[in-house]
Amino acid sequence: MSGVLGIFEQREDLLKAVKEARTENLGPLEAFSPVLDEDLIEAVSPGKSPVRRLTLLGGVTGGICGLVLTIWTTAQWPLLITGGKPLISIPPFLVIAFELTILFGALGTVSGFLYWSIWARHRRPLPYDTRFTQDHFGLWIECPSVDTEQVVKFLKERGATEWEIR
Amino acid sequence: MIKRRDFLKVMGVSGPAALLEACAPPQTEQLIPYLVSPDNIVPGVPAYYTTQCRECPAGCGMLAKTREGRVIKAEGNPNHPVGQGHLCIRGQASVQSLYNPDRFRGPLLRDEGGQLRTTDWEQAEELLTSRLGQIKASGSEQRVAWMGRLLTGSMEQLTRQWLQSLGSERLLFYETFDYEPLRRATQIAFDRSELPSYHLQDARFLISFGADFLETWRSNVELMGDFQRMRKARSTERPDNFVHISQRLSLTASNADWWIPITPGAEVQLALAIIHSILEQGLAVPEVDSDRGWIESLVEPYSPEATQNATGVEVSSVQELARRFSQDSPSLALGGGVSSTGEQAVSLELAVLLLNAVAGNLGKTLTFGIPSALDQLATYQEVLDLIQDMNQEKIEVLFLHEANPVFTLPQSCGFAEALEKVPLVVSFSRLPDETTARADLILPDHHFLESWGDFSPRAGVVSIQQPAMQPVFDSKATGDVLLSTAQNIDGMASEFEHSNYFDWLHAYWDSEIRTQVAAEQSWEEFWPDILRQGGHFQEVEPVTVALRNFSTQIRLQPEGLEGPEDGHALLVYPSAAFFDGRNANNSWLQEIPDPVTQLVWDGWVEVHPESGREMGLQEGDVVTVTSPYGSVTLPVHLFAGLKVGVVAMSLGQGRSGELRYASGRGDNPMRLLSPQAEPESGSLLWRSVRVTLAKTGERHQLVSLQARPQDHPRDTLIAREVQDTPFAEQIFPSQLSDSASGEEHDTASSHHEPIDFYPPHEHPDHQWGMAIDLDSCTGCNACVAACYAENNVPIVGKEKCAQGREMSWLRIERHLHDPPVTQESALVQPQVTSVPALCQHCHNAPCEPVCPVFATYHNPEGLNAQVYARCVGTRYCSNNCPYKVRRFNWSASEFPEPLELQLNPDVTVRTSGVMEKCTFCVQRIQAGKNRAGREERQLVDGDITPACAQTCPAEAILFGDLADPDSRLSQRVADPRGYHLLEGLNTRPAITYLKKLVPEKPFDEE
Amino acid sequence: MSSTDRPHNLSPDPTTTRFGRVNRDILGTLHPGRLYFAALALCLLGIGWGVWSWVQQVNNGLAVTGLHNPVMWGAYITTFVFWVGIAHSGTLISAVLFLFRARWRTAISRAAEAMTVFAVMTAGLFPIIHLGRPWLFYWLLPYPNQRGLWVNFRSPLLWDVFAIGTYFTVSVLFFYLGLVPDLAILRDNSTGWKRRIFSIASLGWSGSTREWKHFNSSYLLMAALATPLVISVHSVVSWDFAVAIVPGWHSTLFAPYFVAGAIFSGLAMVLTLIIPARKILHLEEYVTPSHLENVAKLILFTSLIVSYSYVIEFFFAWYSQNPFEQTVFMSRLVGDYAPLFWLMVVCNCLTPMLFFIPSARRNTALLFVVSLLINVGMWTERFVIIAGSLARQYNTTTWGDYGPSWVEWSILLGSLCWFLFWFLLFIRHLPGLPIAEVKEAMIHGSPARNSLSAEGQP
Repeated sequence: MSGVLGIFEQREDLLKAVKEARTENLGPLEAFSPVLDEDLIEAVSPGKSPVRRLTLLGGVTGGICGLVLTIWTTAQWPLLITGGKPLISIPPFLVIAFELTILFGALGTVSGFLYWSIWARHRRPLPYDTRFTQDHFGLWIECPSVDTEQVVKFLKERGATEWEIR
Repeated sequence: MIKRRDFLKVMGVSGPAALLEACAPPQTEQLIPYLVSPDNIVPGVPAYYTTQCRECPAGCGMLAKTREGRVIKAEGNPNHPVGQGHLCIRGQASVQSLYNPDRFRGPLLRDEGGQLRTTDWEQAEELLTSRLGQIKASGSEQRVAWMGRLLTGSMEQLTRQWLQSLGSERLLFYETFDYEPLRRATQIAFDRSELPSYHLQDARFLISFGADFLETWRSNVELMGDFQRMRKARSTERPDNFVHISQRLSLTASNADWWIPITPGAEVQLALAIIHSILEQGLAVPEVDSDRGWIESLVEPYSPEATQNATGVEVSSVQELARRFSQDSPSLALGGGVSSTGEQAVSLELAVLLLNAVAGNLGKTLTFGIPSALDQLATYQEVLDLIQDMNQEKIEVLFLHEANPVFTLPQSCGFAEALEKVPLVVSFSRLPDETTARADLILPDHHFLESWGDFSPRAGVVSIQQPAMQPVFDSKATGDVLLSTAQNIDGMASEFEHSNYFDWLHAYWDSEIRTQVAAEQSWEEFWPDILRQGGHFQEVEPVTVALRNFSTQIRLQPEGLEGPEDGHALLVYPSAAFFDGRNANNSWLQEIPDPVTQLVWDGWVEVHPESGREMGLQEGDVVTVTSPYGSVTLPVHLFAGLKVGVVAMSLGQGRSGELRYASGRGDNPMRLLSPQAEPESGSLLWRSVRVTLAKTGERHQLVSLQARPQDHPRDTLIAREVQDTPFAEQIFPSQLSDSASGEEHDTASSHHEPIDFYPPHEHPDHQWGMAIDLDSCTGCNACVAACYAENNVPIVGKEKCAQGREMSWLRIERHLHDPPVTQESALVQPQVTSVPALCQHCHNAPCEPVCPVFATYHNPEGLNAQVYARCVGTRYCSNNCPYKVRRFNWSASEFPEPLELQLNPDVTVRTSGVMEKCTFCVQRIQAGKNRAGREERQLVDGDITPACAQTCPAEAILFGDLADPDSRLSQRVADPRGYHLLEGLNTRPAITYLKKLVPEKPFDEE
Repeated sequence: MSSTDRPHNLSPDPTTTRFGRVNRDILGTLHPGRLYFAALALCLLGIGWGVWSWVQQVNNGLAVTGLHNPVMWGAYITTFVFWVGIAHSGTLISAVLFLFRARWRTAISRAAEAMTVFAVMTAGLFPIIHLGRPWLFYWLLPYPNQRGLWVNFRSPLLWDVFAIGTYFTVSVLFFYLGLVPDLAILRDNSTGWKRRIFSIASLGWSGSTREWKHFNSSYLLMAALATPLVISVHSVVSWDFAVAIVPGWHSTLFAPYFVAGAIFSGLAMVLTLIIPARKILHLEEYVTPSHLENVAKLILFTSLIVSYSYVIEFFFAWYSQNPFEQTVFMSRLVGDYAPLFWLMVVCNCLTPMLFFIPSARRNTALLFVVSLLINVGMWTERFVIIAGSLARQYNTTTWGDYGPSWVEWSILLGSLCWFLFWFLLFIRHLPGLPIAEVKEAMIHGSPARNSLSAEGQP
């Protein structure tokens, strides 16, 4: 795949570039930033992250596992009466269920993060400049090689200090 | 009447088998398989041997429980009239004296250098025979003397005959505590030189003048049983029927309804005052009309008014005592006891006998004609004569048998010095003691659980003593020593047809007893039956006696005490655990707290807090106690249960020598006593000196297992503040006042339906439970010792006791509500309640749900089970136990060789880091089920008895099945006196306590 | 092909240079001097001593401790509760304040999160150390085993196992998640094997918008999960006591009371760690007095809740007319435990009152001293509650006092060193401040201004 990676020093320039690239729909975009920048996210890929679905899934699974584990294991040895309490004494079991809800929820969330942001990126590698984690911004515009020049021009005009053609 | 299972217990027993069975080696390291198994040893199944306790002269019947050829537990013999199946703390602990690690490994001989050297029996006996041979040859008289414990029957016969053939009559039966004043008094009053027998169970009112019959006086187990029968009969309206008169709140006194702390020496006057008042109120029985004249003139000067100053007892009280003593007929007055043996001892006994006569108790609660073995005891005077002869070097050989006179005689009488004058001192002692330290030849005797023997505590009771196991060490039965030496002395062998004691015993029983009691039976019929029963028992008809005028012989001038006027009268009393010190090296007895003071592992001098304040003495101050005859150094224990002006010391501690448990604890009061004998009876003057206390400036930690609020809990003194503490309301709705009034009773009774958050759980087959009658419990600690023995409970020693790490599963909490002597009247309520505290096996046990690994849970039979193997030691269960009956193994427990032989193979020895507690003797429950199973029957009530209930001489503990509505237990828990500890917590314990009955009104109030 | 014929724009650029400086400053903290290694060595020494003492305990049994009837729990459980409490503030700052959008948290969040992880690691040691048979600790875990026996889920100790286990896992994940962008920074600033390690650790983070998007959402969700968790964890710990029938433990008040106490003590510990750290690592510009002041305000707030709980406890005891409760609380007021009780009142209730004075809140030295006092006070509080109540239960004849033995003190010291050891490793190898977040704060305006903003209070 081919495209152009422009490197910006000004966050504002980048934002502008992204917005205009969208209007001129220059093709798929990806921006790079050293910081979490909600405006940028909104501009590049609007919409909600799907991670929360995995969180919910994990939480529910955890809760069920908690109840199943406690009730099933207790039923394994029905002789064990303690303190005059019934075998299946729900109140204490709820504590276990709750903790497992949280645990599985958290695990779901993290796996969501790994899947969508880490794994997704590994599947679809993009050019990268180490300065992105430091103090520079970047904009990758994917395009058929014919009008690379046009894209470069576009980026130059928007204040990109460097560019790289792939 | 022998119960079926008791019969089965002893079924497999027969004499030769008893000898033969002992194939199991005492050393655990050699494992010898049974190639040809003895017919009466089934591995895993206990064999019971009837024998009898020889820890003291009382002679209770005993069953020795053996497993794989070793004794693991001592229990009372239910067929035996003495003890009736129960044992006291000392009897329970006798297994530890059997396996005592300090016992002599074999015979010892003192060499030229004066060192004791181990030798073998041949050498030892050779030396003995040569010396005795010379004496025998020389034909000189009275050169050999024997001083030993009370013997009857075959052993007495043997010893006497043996000495006679050596030309000596000198056979002194020496016991530290004799009853000479009483015997002398009966001689004077009734012309019978024998101890009377008492029938407490028939008495309706009891006055004891210093007789501590629940601890050591005469036959304490038997008397405690009788006492309880007497108490059970009393009315709840007027529950007070026992008055104790003494200077110290002994265990017996603390079980009295009324205690009269009396000035030493005033007892006689009080007794006479009561007689005076009886006559005055015209309550005397007609039988004494003939003697009325001299009695009236005798008591004339002792009107209640006249004696009030001396005795401190109000006229009204004396009159009430007189009234109740004569009207609640038959009543009984007991007199004597070590601590009241002063110059007036005989007079006191006379007065008491007269009191009984006047109230018409003769032939009812007080009978004659049943001579006691104690009548055979030598008087202290005879001992003094012996000492004199020893000093005059008239004695060439002195035999000491189960006696430690150097320790138990007043040091001032010079016995130790006199020993130096005796060329050959032979001791048969099993343990190193003060006397063996001076002996030339030590021929260790068997323990009574290892040897044959017989003993007749009183007429009509002849018990057999069977060896229950192979000797632990290289000891030899004294009877065998006597016979084998006799064989080797010229001219002696002929006089003894038997060469070993077993044959001698057989012959004796055949000739002396069978012919007497069962002439029609053949020996083969007779003997196994004796072994099964544990002896031969029959009722002996008492004889009637006539009162004689002894007004001239009664000594009425008040007794004097030697020593400085400003001093304190010294009171020496026998230790409930150590008796006269013979048991001091027994680790259980050292660790089980003293029943009165709750102190462990120590000796002390008891000082009244008031006197303490005057002398500026604190608890634990080390003082030098000085009498005209010597001095001892002891820590002070402030004890409110004393007559002011008296200090008390128990006999038993202060042992010297290499005794790992006893040495270096406390001191021996015998250093302080006067050497004089009581002129009238020739008994030892126990109460004869005043002492002075001087601070040494040192401090000594006295350790009590019972915490006291306010002060540092591990500090000493009984928890007398318990009344003002929250626990009191919970543990003592136990006063009668509550149970009488209904609404308070609701809070205390166990019969209202508790409200539970969860549905109840059922116990289909059994629900084990227990009832403990606080009114019966005397706090004697026998159950505690039984628990130690049954459940392999380790001892931890004084230091860990001080840290609160004792392991006792069962403890007797002694609650003394308020200091007794603060009360106005001379008659004070001791207000002592002894509460046996053990795992309550709660229906809703708080300890169970908190255990993360199910190490403790509720089993289907209502037991709160503790699974040691499963325990990881979070100790949460103990935190959550409101009764604090769980014990944690802070470190690995130790059983010094050969004590490990005593361990009960049915009970795990717990490892370090696990929790343990009372199991209701689950191994016995299992055994009971197995037995029922083998006999193909259902469990019946009484099949299962835990160790504590089994031994309880007061029968205060009842175990049974709550699921069975007809069980004795179910009936007893329905008693209106029933309540649960800390009932408000709704833990619903399986143990029901029955409240103590205490008088509500002052004594002389109608 | 790349074209570089065009010269760079050399005009100084605010964003870039400021970001650059942030990197330099914060990454600069990762090269400490001699003092650091001395401290590290000391910690290792302390850990060694603690381990040796513990070996003594395992060999000789718990007899070497001061524990006895009836005080079965003592210094170990006290310290367990103490460290669990410490952990809580970390989560509070990183999660709860995040949800509250209190941006000033940035300055201390990273350190606080690290502290949480290490505190839980320390706390987790004690339930095992205190066991009678510690080698069997795994019997508390529910796994199929040959004993054919599972665990008793009715036991609060099991709740602990799950609560602490969950809490540790979630804290670590949360900590790591927040660390990923910074790890990428470290990667791009390092060379050789370090670079390799960091590139693995940073999961190849590139800062692309999509990564940031999912990162943002995950972080938010984790915070949302951590918040109820942190409350549940200390509630569960408090139930170890509250569900027991021990007078002085058996109280419905315990959960909120303990949670407040936990956050209270944790915040104090944050100050104890941060104040010296910012000096030594020259982070005054990033961790400003205003940040510390906000923490001080939180401390004051939680201190008031804790004090209120103390009062209410006594009210309950009095109002219930339960003699046993009253006995316990009297023994705290005037009994054997009074000295400790009053010490804890001074440390936890009185000294924090200083923070009503604005100048006191901004006085670093004073903050440090007070934070130390609160640490002591909170340990004492747990000690009084645990040992003090156990020593005065229903049956007066079984009362008994408790004091830790040298073994217990040594193990406690060891655990403190263990905690500091990990914290030292952390400040040496990972940025003590979340670089990306600091930069993020910049694009929203200068960190200083935000930290001054009043949105500090939850």
